[in-house]
Amino acid sequence: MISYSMSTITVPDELRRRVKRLASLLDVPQHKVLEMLLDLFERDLIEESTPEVSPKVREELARARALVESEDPGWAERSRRLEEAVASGLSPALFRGRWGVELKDNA
Amino acid sequence: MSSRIMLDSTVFKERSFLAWLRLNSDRFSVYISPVVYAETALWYIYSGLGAEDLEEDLKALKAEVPPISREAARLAAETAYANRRRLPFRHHARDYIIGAQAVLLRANIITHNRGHFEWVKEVRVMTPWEFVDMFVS
Repeated sequence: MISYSMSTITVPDELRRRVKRLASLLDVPQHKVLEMLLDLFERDLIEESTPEVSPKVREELARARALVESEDPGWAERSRRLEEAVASGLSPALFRGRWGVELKDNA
Repeated sequence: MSSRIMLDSTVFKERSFLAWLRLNSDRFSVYISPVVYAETALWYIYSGLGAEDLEEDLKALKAEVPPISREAARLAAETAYANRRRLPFRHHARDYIIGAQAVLLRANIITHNRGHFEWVKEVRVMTPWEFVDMFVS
């Protein structure tokens, strides 16, 4: 059996109720619900993000990139900054709107 | 196959793909939905750039941002109802709008989340790599 060191987080009561309800429905501990939801969320975020890219496609893309960046330093700088952002965890997928959820949460 | 393509927001992190599109911009008409524009501009801003940087990139890609028409909104609603169990509107509103715009424009969708557009039958839904592969193979 795996043992965890446990800690606490502060969440709004309504969120706590939802986690408790799901935990009860699924008959799992509340932390397990959060773990399952995070797994789902991460799977959604990284869906197809690590696909097989053929060597031919990889080569074609590298050639295109080298050409564009040598001709347009502004483009190259934007690429550098955006890729730094992705490396730090700021993926564009994080900004994909879930309107129904977000509008409700902000209402 | 249509030479029109509609880019989803996650594709904007693929700078090599965008560079390739830019070099081939005379072969395709590139579209992005206002929804994708807003999401991507927000990502640029969080990344320390600005909406004007996105404008620069869109200009280089010769990309158009067609407005969301009443017809697209209606198609989004009808398809959302038809697919309500698998892809509820509450979580997929943006996918329905983008997909409806692509269908009406007859533009193939380029995305990393093909599953979110599985209801789209009228145009193709591809990853950036699949799209490039069609042209280099």
